[in-house]
Amino acid sequence: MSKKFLLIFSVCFIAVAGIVVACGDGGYYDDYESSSFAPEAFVNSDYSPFFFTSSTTYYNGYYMDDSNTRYNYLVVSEWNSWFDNQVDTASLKTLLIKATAGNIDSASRYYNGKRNVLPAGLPDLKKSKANKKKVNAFFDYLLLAKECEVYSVGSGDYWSYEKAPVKEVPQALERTLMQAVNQAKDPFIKERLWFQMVRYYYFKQRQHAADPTKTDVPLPAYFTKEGASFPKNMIYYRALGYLAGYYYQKGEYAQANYLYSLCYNYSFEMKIPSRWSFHPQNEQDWMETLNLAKTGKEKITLWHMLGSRSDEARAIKEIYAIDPQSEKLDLLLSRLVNVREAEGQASKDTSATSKTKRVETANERTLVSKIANEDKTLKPYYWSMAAGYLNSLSGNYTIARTFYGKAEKQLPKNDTLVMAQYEAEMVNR
Amino acid sequence: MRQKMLFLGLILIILITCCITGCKKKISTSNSAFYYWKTIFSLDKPQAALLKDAAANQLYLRLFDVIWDEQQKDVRPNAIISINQDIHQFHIVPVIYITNRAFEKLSPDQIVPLAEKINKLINDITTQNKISYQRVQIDCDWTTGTKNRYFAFLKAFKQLNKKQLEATIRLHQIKYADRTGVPPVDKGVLMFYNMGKVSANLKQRNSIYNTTDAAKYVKYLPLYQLPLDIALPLFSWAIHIREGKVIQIYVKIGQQELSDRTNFRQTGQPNVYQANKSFYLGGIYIKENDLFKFETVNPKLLDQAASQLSKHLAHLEKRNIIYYELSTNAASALEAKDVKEVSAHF
Repeated sequence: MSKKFLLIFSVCFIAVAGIVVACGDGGYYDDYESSSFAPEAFVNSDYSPFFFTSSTTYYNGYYMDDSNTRYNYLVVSEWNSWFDNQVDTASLKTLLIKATAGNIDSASRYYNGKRNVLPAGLPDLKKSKANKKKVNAFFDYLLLAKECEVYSVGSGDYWSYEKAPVKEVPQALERTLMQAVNQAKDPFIKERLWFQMVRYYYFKQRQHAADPTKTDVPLPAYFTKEGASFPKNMIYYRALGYLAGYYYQKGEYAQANYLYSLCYNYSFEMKIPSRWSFHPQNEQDWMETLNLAKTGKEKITLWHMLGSRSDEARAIKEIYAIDPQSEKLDLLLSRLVNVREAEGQASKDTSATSKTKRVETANERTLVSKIANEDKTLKPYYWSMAAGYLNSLSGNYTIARTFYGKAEKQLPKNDTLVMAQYEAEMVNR
Repeated sequence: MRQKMLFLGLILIILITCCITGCKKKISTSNSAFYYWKTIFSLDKPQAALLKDAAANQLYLRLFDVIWDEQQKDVRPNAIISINQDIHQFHIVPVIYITNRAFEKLSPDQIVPLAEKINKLINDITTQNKISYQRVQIDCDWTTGTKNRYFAFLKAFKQLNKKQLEATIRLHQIKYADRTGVPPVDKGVLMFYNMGKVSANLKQRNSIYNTTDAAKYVKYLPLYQLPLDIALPLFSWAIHIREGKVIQIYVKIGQQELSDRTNFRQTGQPNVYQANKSFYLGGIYIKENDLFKFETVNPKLLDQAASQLSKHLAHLEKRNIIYYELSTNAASALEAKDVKEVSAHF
């Protein structure tokens, strides 16, 4: 490793530390940093919104934080599959996402010959080759679903104000929905109606929360009783998210956070809202959450969520002890390295950096080096490179060189991103 | 002898007169009031009692914040108040907090629309909650860079809202009034706190209030071009320090939490505590060895602040002394008479 390389390492990674602008009633941080350790090379892109960034909530300006529209694309494609592609996605999008209850009623009547003219802008399903029974079941479902949107979909206008903290959830709808679930034969529609029922109870409970004289809704019991028979698919986990929200409203944080972690683990689409909602309050409820985990894998997800929000090193230690092969370690390691890099560590730990910082960085290096040396993880080269990088950040160049040498032998030669990352770090050797 | 008696009598009369006039306390005409800053408005009994007894139900109620939404690239309200109890008995001044960043990002053609939206939202909230109000207070820590846009906003807002308009004034805006300008409002409210540096330096002076930092600003007060009400601190906070850097400030972490020896140990500094382990506390994740610097304003310090400040203010009848804020532990530790005593300085 040449001296030139050392110089570049020690200069480039001294980031400008954030300046706190404190004014009691607000404040923000301004950070400027550049990274030479790209998470993209090592971590599954499903986790990309959570790659470390200090200035925005989600990495790369990732914007998936609109609760009203988050699942629209999925909803359309699920119905499209159910129709065996016989109804095009544009028509489905119009009916599912844009149309009002009145629109659906008109479209349904037109489809069944009870109305002569189809209102402008609505798709003509008579022209599709879809099974007639299915189309009618779809319209029946949609009519009910649109009724549920009254309380479940926000106005989307930040500047609007309604004194009632939650919208009225119509009492009569409970019976209508319940009947519809019980009578539905098609499992796809039955599960969606069950989802509507779960969501109904969630919003009913929210409305009750503003009025303590009202009684509890039977959501957990209903969820368990009916939910057991359904496939554990997207709509199931979305319903599970509402069950978690129900517990959260009641202050049962241990249950809520456990269920959010199951949602987080289920799919990419659920990761942002689940992580956003995951809020352990005190050590006691966090311990209870860990105890609720039924398997090592579930426990790993919980530690991973704690780690990516608050404490990467602690979570790595815990997860590694449960399963060193877990892919949930990857995001944490990239964050640990990128956070440390952004801290702007001095080249030598003996410098004027604070004692806690010295202890903390030493602990991190020991942890990552130990794991890199044990070669038990899924991506040994990743750990070796991270150990090399952390050591070079701290000015331990000899050790760094050893780890890079180790990494070189472990590299997956056909992975262009990893190779590019390795070469980027070696370019000045 | 007679002359001597007359002389003594005269001296006695003079002494008595001096005593009467000299000892006569200046009668304060100030009014006390409280801020309420939380998102959910719900007063418990002691808070309601303090508001009534100390401040005759004068309440400066934060209705919402206005922030810059980085993702939407637009201004929007945030943390709109949720009012869960009957509020009609209180004399309310709506307060709107606007981040300076909002004005940094706002283009000039967005200023009037912003004034319209804020005015509408204030009126929607007040109407639906049966609040009648005579004044609006805008809180914004504007700078030389945002002065023009902020002042244009204030003018536009006043034109729409038509009620009395007041704006908060921070100490640096008093000292550098020639640069930051004087906002076009009917009245200013001097925020007499947050004057020191929020710092990871454990020996730094109390950032909420300390006489040394205050002294750097108060001498400019008599020259300020607006009548000033006063906002005084009634809160404490814990400054969260990690690896030598301030990472957050928490109002909800107080002496009680920090005195829990299973979680924290006291350091050599009496107001600094160190975490024994990594753990969650009240929704906050604390790492082993994190430091918490506790800062507070007790009644004695508050009295000192009032005494220091009142000497430098231009005369104003019925000055409002607003305490920030009603829901804090610091407020619940006070009695109505303590508040009245502090306000009596003005």
